[in-house]
Amino acid sequence: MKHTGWTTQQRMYFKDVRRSLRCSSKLRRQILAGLQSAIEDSPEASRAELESRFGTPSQFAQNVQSGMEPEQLAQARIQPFKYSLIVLAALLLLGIAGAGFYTSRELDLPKEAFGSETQAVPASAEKIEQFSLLLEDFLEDLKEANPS
Amino acid sequence: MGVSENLKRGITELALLCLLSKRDMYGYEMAQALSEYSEGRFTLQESSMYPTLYRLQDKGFISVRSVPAGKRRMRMYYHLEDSGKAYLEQSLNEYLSVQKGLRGILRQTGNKEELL
Repeated sequence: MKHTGWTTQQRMYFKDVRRSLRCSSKLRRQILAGLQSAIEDSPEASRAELESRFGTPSQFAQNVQSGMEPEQLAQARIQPFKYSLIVLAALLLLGIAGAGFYTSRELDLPKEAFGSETQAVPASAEKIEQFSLLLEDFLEDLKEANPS
Repeated sequence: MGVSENLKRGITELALLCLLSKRDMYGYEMAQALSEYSEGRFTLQESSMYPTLYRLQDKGFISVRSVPAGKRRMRMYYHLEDSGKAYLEQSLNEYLSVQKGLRGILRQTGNKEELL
């Protein structure tokens, strides 16, 4: 949100109101747009004038709160919880992605890291299938050699 | 939720709809008009009107338009839609019915007889 042409007092008042508001993000956007338009409409207004017109930032938030219907209040209560869940989910995803990246790096380590006698473990499904076919062949050969 | 809060919300809604039924207005203008028409009995800070205005807007009863008001200045005007006019009519009937009922109760119980 650009506040060109605003005084420092106006900018501070707007910022303080934005911090005090406890409501849904949609209502907050609408309210702040209304406040922005009202401030722009009175470019010379000092903080004291803004406070007499809209109330102090905490009064402003209280006025908004008292004007809200039960469903708007319920949305306001859900909002911080919703954000916490989003942050938690994002952290969890980041953790999983980090773990995945770390694991893939472990598997792709260059052969030199293990010395000349060792090789990286083949992890692909194709290699596992090849290995199981070889094992089956070996077991069949073993049966043929020892029929009893 | 107290009775007074519900009452205040209901009255605020009704008063704002009444103002907009006259003509399109912006926030500060509405606050001034409320104070003037009620002879100072009904003063409302603009911040108190926002939740009501946006609720009415969400329900489609009013709409908002930005009108240039000088250099780089935009004023948000609220307009009463047709559905809002019908809602106002319904709300006014409800309000008048409640008021009539309450007057009856006050009369029968001998309260504030001097005002009735």
